[in-house]
Amino acid sequence: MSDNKSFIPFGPQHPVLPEPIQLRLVVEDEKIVEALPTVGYVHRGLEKLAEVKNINQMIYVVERICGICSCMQAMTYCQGIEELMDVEVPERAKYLRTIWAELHRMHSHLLWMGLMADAFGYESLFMQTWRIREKVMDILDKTAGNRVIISVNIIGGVRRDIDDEMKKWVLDTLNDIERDLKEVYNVMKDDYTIKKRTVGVGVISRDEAFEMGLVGPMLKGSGYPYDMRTTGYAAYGNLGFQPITEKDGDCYARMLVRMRELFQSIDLIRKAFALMPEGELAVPVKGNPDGEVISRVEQARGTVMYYIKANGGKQLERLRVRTPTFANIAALMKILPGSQLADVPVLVLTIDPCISCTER
Amino acid sequence: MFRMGKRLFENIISGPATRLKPREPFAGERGHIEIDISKCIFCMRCARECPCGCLTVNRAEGTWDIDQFECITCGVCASVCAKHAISMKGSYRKPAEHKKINIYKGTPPAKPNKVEAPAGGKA
Repeated sequence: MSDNKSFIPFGPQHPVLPEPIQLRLVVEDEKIVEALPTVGYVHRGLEKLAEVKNINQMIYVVERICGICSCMQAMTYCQGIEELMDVEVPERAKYLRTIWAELHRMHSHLLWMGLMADAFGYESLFMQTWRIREKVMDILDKTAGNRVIISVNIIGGVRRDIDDEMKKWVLDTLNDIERDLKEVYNVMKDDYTIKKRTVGVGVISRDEAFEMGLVGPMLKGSGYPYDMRTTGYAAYGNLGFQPITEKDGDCYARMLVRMRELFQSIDLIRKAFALMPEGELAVPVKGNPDGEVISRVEQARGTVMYYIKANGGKQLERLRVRTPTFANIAALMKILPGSQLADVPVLVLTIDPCISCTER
Repeated sequence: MFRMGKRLFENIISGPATRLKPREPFAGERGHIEIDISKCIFCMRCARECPCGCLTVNRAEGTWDIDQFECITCGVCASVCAKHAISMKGSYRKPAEHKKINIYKGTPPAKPNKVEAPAGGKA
């Protein structure tokens, strides 16, 4: 290393990082020359548990892969097993899964918005977004019985129902959330300082984003309309879903994608409630799965992929999870070199890292 | 200025934005597991289905143990219990200084007398 270069270990414990990732930054004055992300601090060996626990018990294990998108993890797993066993889930259960998945997307994006606001020093905005998030958590708490790990998915359907009285309360609360969100949206969209910190920072072009295999808002922010919800799993096929994209590919574009997805989620929940038919919540499932399957679902951060291999026994032979952050970490290698040291918190948070999912 | 005044006025007259703690749990919230041991028939289904292995059922001695510190309150045991002995209460447990396993003692049902297989039946 030459004289004017220095090495800064950024993380795994750092005030702006919510999770343990280490970035080895080589800096020349204030400019970053090289960045190497290192993971491996929170590996828990959850995939290996699939060979010990039976297929029903594994639902509660995969839910704990991620604290933010736990509902979607269980949904991906259950959809995979259902595909293996040729189980047709009741229509009502599909709509309920969609509603809970969208609520999880909302609270994930609101959490991210708060952390992002905190990263560039907007303490009050951080609290305002988390105040709105608290209302989403209340909806989850009242409808599913818990705030984050809601444990509603089972193989063959869902465990809980949302009755008419609760549906009315949820829709009223969503109206309040939408009103509050519009105020925060205007601040984040038009504020001078936020624009200075995000516009033109960490630009990834459409082709580069596709070549690096990015997923979720990282890819949509670069103008590539790639979203697993367009495949129509659960009830998304009936809701007329169109992915949201922005063209610029910088931090500001990705922020706009996430904020517009919040409003889209509210619309999707309203549509799902309007179209939700009466009926059963779950079908009884007997027997054990056999064969292998790949199941994909769009999480808040991007596409999650489950590879499930079963051999007809009570336990699975292999479970492999590929989470969106694993794909998006590649973007850090591209956007960090050449940027200023002061922009590192914003650049790291723009990929919405979830290291606990990545390492499992 | 007018917008700021409006917000200021709203903040003075409105209550807290979130539900303050300690708060009343919603109906159907998954707080902690309780058992009515007099209903339990020690079939051990709860212990078999429990994803975290926090339940230990001993049919011979008639004990039903739960390690509340390992329990993830998923509610599977309550949903599979044939006699509805296990239920979920909305309130969360109080923090404890020492971890301990809650042991419930009940009376297991008497073993049914073995019926002898009819002669000439399947082995």
